This record gives sequence, structure tokens and C-alpha cells, in this order.
Amino acid sequence: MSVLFLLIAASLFCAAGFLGAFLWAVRNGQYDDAATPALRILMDDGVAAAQNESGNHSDSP
Amino acid sequence: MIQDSHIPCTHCGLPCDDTSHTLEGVPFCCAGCLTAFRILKGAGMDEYYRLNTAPGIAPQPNSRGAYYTDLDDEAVACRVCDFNDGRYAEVTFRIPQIHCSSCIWLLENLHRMLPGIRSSRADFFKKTVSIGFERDKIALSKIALLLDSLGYAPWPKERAEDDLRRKKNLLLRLGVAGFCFGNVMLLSLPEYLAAGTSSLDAFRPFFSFLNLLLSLPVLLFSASDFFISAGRAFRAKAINIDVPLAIGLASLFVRSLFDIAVSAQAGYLDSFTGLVFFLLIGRAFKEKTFDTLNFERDYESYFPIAVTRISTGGERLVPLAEIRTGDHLRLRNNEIIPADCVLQSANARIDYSFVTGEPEPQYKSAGDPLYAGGRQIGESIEVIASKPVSQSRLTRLWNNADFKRVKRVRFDVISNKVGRAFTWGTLVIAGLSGLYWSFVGTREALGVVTSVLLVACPCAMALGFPFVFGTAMRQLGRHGVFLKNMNVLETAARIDALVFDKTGTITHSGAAKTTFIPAPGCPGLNASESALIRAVTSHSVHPLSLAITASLPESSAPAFDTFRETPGQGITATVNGHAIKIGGAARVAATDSDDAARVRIDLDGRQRGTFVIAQEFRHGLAGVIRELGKTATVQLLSGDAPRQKDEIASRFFSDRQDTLHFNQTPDMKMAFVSRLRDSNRFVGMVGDGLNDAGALRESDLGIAVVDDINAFSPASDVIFSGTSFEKLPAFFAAARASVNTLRATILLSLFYNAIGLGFAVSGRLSPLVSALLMPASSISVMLFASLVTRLRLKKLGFPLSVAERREFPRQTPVPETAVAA
Repeated sequence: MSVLFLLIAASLFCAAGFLGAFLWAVRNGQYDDAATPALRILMDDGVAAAQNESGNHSDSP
Repeated sequence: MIQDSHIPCTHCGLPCDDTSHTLEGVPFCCAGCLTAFRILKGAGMDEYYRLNTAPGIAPQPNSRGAYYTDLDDEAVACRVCDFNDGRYAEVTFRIPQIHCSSCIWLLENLHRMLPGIRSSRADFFKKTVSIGFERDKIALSKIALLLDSLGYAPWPKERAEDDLRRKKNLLLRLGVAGFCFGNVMLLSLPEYLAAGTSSLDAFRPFFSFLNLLLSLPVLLFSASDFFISAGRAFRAKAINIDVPLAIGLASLFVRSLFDIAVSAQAGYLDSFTGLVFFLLIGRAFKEKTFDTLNFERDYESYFPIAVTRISTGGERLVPLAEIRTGDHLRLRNNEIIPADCVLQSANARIDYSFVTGEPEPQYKSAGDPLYAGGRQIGESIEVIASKPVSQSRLTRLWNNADFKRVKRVRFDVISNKVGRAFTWGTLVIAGLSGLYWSFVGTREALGVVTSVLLVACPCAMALGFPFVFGTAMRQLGRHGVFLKNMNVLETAARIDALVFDKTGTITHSGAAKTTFIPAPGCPGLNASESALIRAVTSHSVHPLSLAITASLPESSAPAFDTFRETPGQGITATVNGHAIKIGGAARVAATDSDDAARVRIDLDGRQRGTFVIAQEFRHGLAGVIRELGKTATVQLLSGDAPRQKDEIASRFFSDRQDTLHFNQTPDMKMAFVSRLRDSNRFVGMVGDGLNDAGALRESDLGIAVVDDINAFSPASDVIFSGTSFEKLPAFFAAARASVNTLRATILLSLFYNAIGLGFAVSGRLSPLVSALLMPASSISVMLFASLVTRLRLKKLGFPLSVAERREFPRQTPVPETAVAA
């Protein structure tokens, strides 16, 4: 059972990594606008299709 | 057979009154929508209409033209742009009309419509768009004009950079607290599950140590705000809601530290981290609600940013702040007079509706003084500024000592009262129980005292307040009622005296009851005559012309031969060969006693008749005043002369003429409100604009009723959209309901506290009990507060789910030609 010491320490270390990633993401401004990206997903990449005349059609999702 | 009036406009969804606006068979309600559609179709932007049904907004007639052309001035551009290196610039506009994905799509595809735009990025929540463009390829004013013609009139971005930093900080704290809370809970589980078995003994110190380690960031970082706020209150010898919170948190931590280090027990660190986590959630909820409803606006957003100054070198746009006494200025049609000045041109027509409430423009001649806040109607005029902007009468009114001072809050907000009672109660109970247990032993006594301190939790205040008022604010916002902050609801619940302004508040500013009285011996107007007259009046922005235009049926506009609008003398025009003269008041003999406005119409040289235009009262006014009268005294203050006094009294005020006061200047209104407050009443002032600014600030609660939600006054605490006017009594009822719900939440919290204190005082508070009680009380308080508020407000007429697509009332009011009061 003494392996628990090692396991817990290791998992805490791993979890701290994720916390670090979260802190970095917030500082980087990724959470500044949570509403607009949700709307952008629904829009087709019409720009590429309309302006690309050489016939490279983008697949519609 | 579907009637024409049921066909919805393809662009904005409003019903089309007729089929006069169609493009290749596609119906629209007005020329604005048709133009917007044509622009979008021409640029290949059909996706806009595919993403949502009728996503457009009917564009307003271009009433902000001055603002847009001002944007080309270099000084103004520097102020407005975020980035500007001469060749490439970035500007952020605020676009309140953003309400759906089509709006976002359109705003982010602007580069397809104007070649000089490099990129644009919209923010749905903040309702802004940031546009990067090349200055030598396109002018900023063109961008603004395009946005305006599509229905997305741009406004200057508000200065809110600190907000972002605060939000980030809160998010960081919340993340850290959540992380630590989760891990501490996991590490504490063995303590509860394996209680009594010896297999735990080897690990207990290890887990406790880890818990301490994980609690440190929570104590030092996540919870720092509470301690700082409590410390500040302490130094000011006051007790606010954060004081008992800080005491509780500190007790939790210290007691746990002691238990772990000295008695080799588990401590209460899971309750500690959990409490901080839930409190921060409450804060985050408050911030999120606030974001949608924040409206701190400078009056500079209302006055035009720049004015044309005439000097020896020519005419230049200068920012407001640069205007000096003696400057020659040119004011164009619809421009607002920025400073007190003297008229140089021969004639001017000034609309002082925002200053005195009089809807009819005054005719001025050379040498007359003009006052700031008025608007020039018609040809451009030249004036000489007699005072720089900062001393004009309007800003003087605003900078009046009575306003600059923060509103005297005359009652203690519930949270502070509860905070105080709670702190004292906890300390007393802790003291008494400690005293009792000291007879048994000091160790037990200390244990009990700290238990009492840590279990007593004023979560109701900390969590209930943001959830009750935040939810209420959101629901009210969905129905056109916007509050400045949460404390407004508490104030609104106490109002027992209401004062109404007349013009624009109880009357529609813009809509009017218009009747045509034919000249003696002549019949009424036929269709072609109506079309002719309408064609002429629709080109004038005179309020009476607007009223006539609205009252005549829409028809295809005949061609013009000549058109001349002379200030003070009406309009002279020839249309289709017919000569039309639409006369001003000067050419009409006022014979009746009800001084409604009269406009004489001459067709082909002979008098055809007169339009009589009365002001129209808001729909449902009588009912509103009656309802309000049940809980408050209602009075009327008006800047107008006492026209229609008898009618108003009998129709709306139960014939009590003593409640009506006329000829009130802005200063008099302020003094009136002040007197009411001094006689110990809680005064709510309902007004509409700048002329009420003083009184709105002076009152306990300032409500601005606006028909165009972008033109409000910063002096108000509540903004009521004109279309929701009938909900005014319901608003006050909702405020009272919210305060009652808050009280109920406090009771709920007291219930939990009683249980917890029972355990604590009897010395049986174990970490397990505390760990169960804390989250239970926090979560149930949050749920109770938000659900009960939602239900009560729904019953009062403010349900949360409204047709989501409209967060604003219609900007173009549907003309009501029939009056129903």
C-alpha cells in the first residue's frame, strides 16, 4: 500500500499540469469571448468556395 | 387569401403594410429594408438570410449623419481608433443591434462588401465589432454609413478595459479554487469512509499535509478578495457582508491547521475550499449578469463628437473639447448645439425638446441666443459660441453639486444589515457556548468556539443576493427593462412617491393623432392628393411633417419638380405639376382653445384644409397610473404650457388637478423632487431625457422611458423601453417580490445555520457534518433563490423565455393611427 504515496504524488503532479494549462489559457485570452465562437461554428466556409474559382469546392459539413 | 398586412418583411420580419416595397417579388416593409437586402444581395451575401429567418433590423432613417462624417476628421479618428499608424487602422464599434448568428456572420464578412476592409471580428456578448481597414483605401465614415444602412448603426466603444482584467482574475481564482476543492475532497474521502480502521493511520498525516498544501493557494489567492474587503470595512469601523464571511473562512483554516498539526485529525479543509468555491461561483454569476446589462455612458456619446468650426482658413471639424468662446461654428440639420451661442444666420429653427420638452421648434433670427442641447432643424446655420462647452447650461445642470455627489442612499441595504446582525449573533453564541464549555475544559471550550465560528455561514447573503437580483435583472432585461445595478431593485421596492414627466414619457415622442379638416366647402382628401402631400412632407424632418407623413397612407412617391423648405414658412413644392404649399403656424390663425398644432395645406393656389395634430398618450396610460396609485402617490411635472390640463386630469389622474404641475423648468423639477425627498418620501422619477437629468439624479430612483433604446440619459437608474411602458406597475411589483424572495432565502439560510449551530454548540461538529452541511446549504440557497425568483417574476409578466431573437424593442414604432387609451 505504500505505493499510494508515489501514485498520489504522481497524479497530483499530473493534475497540476492541467491546472497550469488552464491558467495559461485564461491569461492568453481564450476565455474572453465565450459566446461568439458558438455562433461561428454554424456558418459555412462560404468565403473559400465563393472566391476560389479554380473549382476547389470545400465540403459542406 | 392572406391579407397584405400579414406578409412579413423578408429582411426584418415586421408585417408589411402594403406591397409598395418589393424587389423581384420579394416583399419588404420599408425602403430601408429593401435597400439593405439589395446591398447584401449585390455583394453575394445571401448566407445572411439562410442562417436565420428575417434576421435583419429595419434601418433607421439616417439621423446620425453628423456623427459618421465626423469620423473622417483626423483628431476624431485618433480618439476613436484602437490602432492607427496612418495606413492601417483598427476601430471597435459598439453595435447594440447584434442579436443572432446572422448578425455575427454579416459583421465578420464585411470585407466582402467593402474592398478596403482587411478583417473584422465581432463579439456577440459585448455587442462589438473590431474592424481593421486600410485608411488609403476606405474612409471610416463609409464603413459607418454602410453599417448604418444595413441596420447596424455603430456607436463609439465604451471604455471598459478594466472589466476584462477583472473577469480574467475572477476566472483564475475560480479555477484554482475548483481545482483545489476537488482534490481536497478526494483526499478527504478516506477519512470519512475508513473512519476507525487502522489502515488509514499511515496515510493520515500525508493526506492532511497535502490538503494543507492545496488549501494554501485558496487562502492566499482565491479568497483574498473577501479578506481585503472585510479588512477595509473593519478599518472604517463598519461591518459589511464580507466580515462574517472572512471570520468564518479564517476560523475554518486556523482550526483545521490546529487540528492537523496538533491533534492529528483531518481538519475542515474540504469545507473551507468548498465554501470559497461556491462563493466565487456566486460572484461569477453576478458578473455575467452585469455584463449584459452594463450601461455606463458618458454624455459625450450623445453630443456629437466634433463640430464644424469656421475660421479664416476654412471650415474644420474640431472635437468638442477644443471649442472656445468666440468660435464661429456651423451646425447642420439635426446637429445638436454643443454650447451656448449666438445665432449669426438670418433664421434658425431650433428644437429644444430635450431641454424644455416642447416638441415644436422655435424660430430664431440673427442675434438671438441659442442654448446647448437644442437641435437645428433645416438648413445649416452659423453661430458664435458664447461659452465653451464645459460651461454650457446643460453641463452646468449635470455638474451641479447635487448630481456629482453619489446619490444619498437613505436606507441600509439588506446585505449590510444582515451582515451586521449575523456577525454579532455569531460572536454572542460563540462567546456563550465557550463560556458554558469552559466549565468542562478549556480544550473543549476552544473547540466549540471555533466550531461555532466556522459553521455559521451567511451564504444567503453572499449567494442569495446575486442569484435573486441577478436573475430578476435578466428577466426584466428580456422585457425591455434595464437596471443599472442590483441595488436598484431594493430601492424600487421602497418607492412611495412617483413623479412623471409629460413629454416623451406619458406621451409618444413622434406619434401623434392627426386629423385633416378640409377647408369650408371642400371634400376630404382623395388618394392622389394624399400621395402628393405625403411626398412633400416625407422629405422634411419637421416633427409636424413626420406626423402628417405617418398619418397618410403610403403610396408610390410621385416625382418632384421643385422643393423648398423655408425655416419658419413651411414647405413650397411642385409635384407632378401641382403646386403645394404646406404652411407653418405663422400662416394659420389659431382659433380653437386646445392649442394643438395646425398645418395649412394649399393645393394649386387655393387653401385645401388644415391638419390638426395632437400629442398622443401612451397606450394603457390610465391603467398604469391607476395601478401605480395603489402603492404610491403619482404626480405630473411638465415643461409645457398647461395644454390639455383638463383632459389629462380627468382621463388619467381621477380629476385631481393638484397633482399636475406645468411650466416646470429643469431646475424646478429638481427642486420639486428634492422637496419630496426631504419630506421623507422615497421618490421615483419617470422621465425621458436630458431635460430630466437633474431630477432623475436627484430622485431615489430615476426611470428613463425611451423609444429608441440608444438615446438614453446616463442619469437614470432604470431604462424602460417605450413599448414596455404598460409593465411599469409590474416592474415595481417585481422589485417587491425580489426583496421578499431575498428575505425568504435568508430564512432558509438561518434554518441551515440553526442545524449547524446545534451540532457546534453541543460539541459534536465533526468535519463530516460540516462537509455535508456547507455544500448542501450553498447549493440549495442558489437553487431556491434563482428558481423562486424566476417563478415569481414569470407570474408578474416577465417570463424568462421570450422570442429570443429580439432583445430590443422594435426601433421603428408601428404607426398607430387609432388611439386606444
